[in-house]
Amino acid sequence: MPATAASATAYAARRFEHEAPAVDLLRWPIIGHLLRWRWIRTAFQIPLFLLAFVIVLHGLYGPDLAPKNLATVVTWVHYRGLLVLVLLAAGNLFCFACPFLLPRELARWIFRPVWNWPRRLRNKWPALVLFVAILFGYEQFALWENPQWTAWLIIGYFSAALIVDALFKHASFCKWVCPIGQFNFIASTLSPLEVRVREPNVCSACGTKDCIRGRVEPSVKGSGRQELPLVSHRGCELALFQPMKVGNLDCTFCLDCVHACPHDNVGVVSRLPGAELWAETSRSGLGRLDVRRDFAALVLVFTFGALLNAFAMTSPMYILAEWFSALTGIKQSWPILSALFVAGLILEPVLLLVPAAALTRRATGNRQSVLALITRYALSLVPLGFGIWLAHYSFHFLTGALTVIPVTESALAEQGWELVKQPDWNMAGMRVSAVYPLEIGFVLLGIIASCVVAVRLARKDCPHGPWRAYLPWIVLHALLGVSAIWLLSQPMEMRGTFLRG
Amino acid sequence: MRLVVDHSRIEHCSGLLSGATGCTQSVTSTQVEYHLWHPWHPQQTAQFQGRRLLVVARILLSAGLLASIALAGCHRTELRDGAADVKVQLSFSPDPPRVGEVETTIRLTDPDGKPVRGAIVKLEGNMNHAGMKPSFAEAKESEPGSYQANLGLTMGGDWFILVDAKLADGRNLKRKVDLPGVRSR
Repeated sequence: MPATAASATAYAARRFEHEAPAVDLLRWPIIGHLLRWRWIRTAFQIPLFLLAFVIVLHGLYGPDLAPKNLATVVTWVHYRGLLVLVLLAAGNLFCFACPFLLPRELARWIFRPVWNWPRRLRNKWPALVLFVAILFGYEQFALWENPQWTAWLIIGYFSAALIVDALFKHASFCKWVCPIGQFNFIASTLSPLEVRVREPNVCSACGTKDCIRGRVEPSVKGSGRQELPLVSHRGCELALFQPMKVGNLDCTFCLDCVHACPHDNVGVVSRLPGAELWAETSRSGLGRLDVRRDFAALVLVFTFGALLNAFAMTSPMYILAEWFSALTGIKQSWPILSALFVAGLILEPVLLLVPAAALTRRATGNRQSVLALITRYALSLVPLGFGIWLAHYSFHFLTGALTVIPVTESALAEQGWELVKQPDWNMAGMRVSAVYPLEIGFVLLGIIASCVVAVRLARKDCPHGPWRAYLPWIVLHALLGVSAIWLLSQPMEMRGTFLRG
Repeated sequence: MRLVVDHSRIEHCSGLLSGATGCTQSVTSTQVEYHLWHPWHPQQTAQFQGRRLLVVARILLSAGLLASIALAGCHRTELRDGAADVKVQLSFSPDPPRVGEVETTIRLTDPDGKPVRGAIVKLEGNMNHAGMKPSFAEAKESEPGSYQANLGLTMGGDWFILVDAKLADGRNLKRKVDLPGVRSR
């Protein structure tokens, strides 16, 4: 067995000994049976697909008022909020039920993709560019206040998934393109559930490896000329080989491996959230994370993008934008927004991470380059970034959770189905003051978890004085966390274009 | 045809995974590719493929029909303004408006510039961002054609005001007035 495979299997075995799963959802009476059902994913995808269809229709043809349109309410308030809360409470269930993949499943009955995803693009750079583009477009075009644009964004997403997966084999869209997927993958490293093997020894003795190659049935009945083998259960389309899979990264929770495994040795099990961030082993489908610069860059955009996205909704942002506009004489918003993105996603990370890595290098005598240390310790930013996204999105969801009720009633009334005489537009959600402690709690948890990851990484780098390695990173996490708390305490100003008012 | 694949070689052979080493191909990469990733065999008979195509065509046709019906029944929902000739002017105190109670004055004038009297005027203040609780107020006529109400603007940002007035002649006036850049401080 190759060295990397052996080390991964050894890691899995070691982990199994120390971390026997307390919960395996597949062994639960009702949920377990449901999850084992072959069409469970489709059963979740169909309602979400129908919901997306309704949202698009209402976005295109409903009222042009964001608070009264399902497209803007469901997409920017409920979808985003539920996404992060479900990631925190369970796992990557939105990728599991992703409606964007339903048309491609249908299309693959007709078009059989023939190409492999280009080798040069088999990294996270394309998805990273799209992630930044979505963050930028969201601010520049004020997507939250435009139901039509929101509807077109959803249509564009469906089309992109369809085209990419109609042309390229496997789950190319999910693995290499989808920015929401990358967000989910990173955030799911903090999830309490994971799809993984129950007993590594069973995999060692397995001769079929159906979890990745798919389950092959001996023949196709009625095929006529000859009996042909048929893959009846698909193997992992994201190239994650279960015995060597570590954590949730790149896992869409599709459960293909669960259905394909002939030994019933794959479970949906509980685990320590975030532990995979300090697992130093080659991961199936990903390799070693601590040398993946594309992945580190994605983590930086994930974290600093969270700060930027929250900052863009606060009063200081508009004061800064107007000051910059007065200073430069620029009256259009896109150059100012571009400058802000460069500052927030490039300058700020460089100014903060380079000194931290340089200090670690100097204090520990580590011979790795500063860039290599940044790539390695960037992983410790994930919990903090997720904490900020959680605080931001859960704020919108919790304060506006009930707004979907009058909007739905109003949408039905537009079609002639009056459920109530007058929708109660006063329905909103929790009070802002009640949600604020939760927001602070999410950020504090993020800071603590980030510090834990930094310490665990440092222990491996410098076993005889780890504090010298982790101290700069703990200071960095505290600094970013405090700035996030300061942002959350700022008065909100939800404006479309910041030079308008 | 039956493939026996050494699992430790799968990653390298499939060309998709990183990290595995030491692959010596015992089967062609195409075979591995196909067997790993394709749910259906490429040599399926024309009969089998034809049946599948028919099923897909039916599904697509049904989806297309449903979409057409839905699209045909839809139209952009607009505010139904039954008094387009009446001019609506809003003014605020403080000006520019800030977060808190804002005294709003609505002036209604007819095409000749004469004040429109005796209307029942209701206001709804809402944010451009979805998920926010709107504010409601009923305006009282303070002088001929001029109506006043206190509207609570709960958060900084872009607002819009929906003016809903029942005029003395029975017509319903509905207008949207943008109120961008309400300052929190």
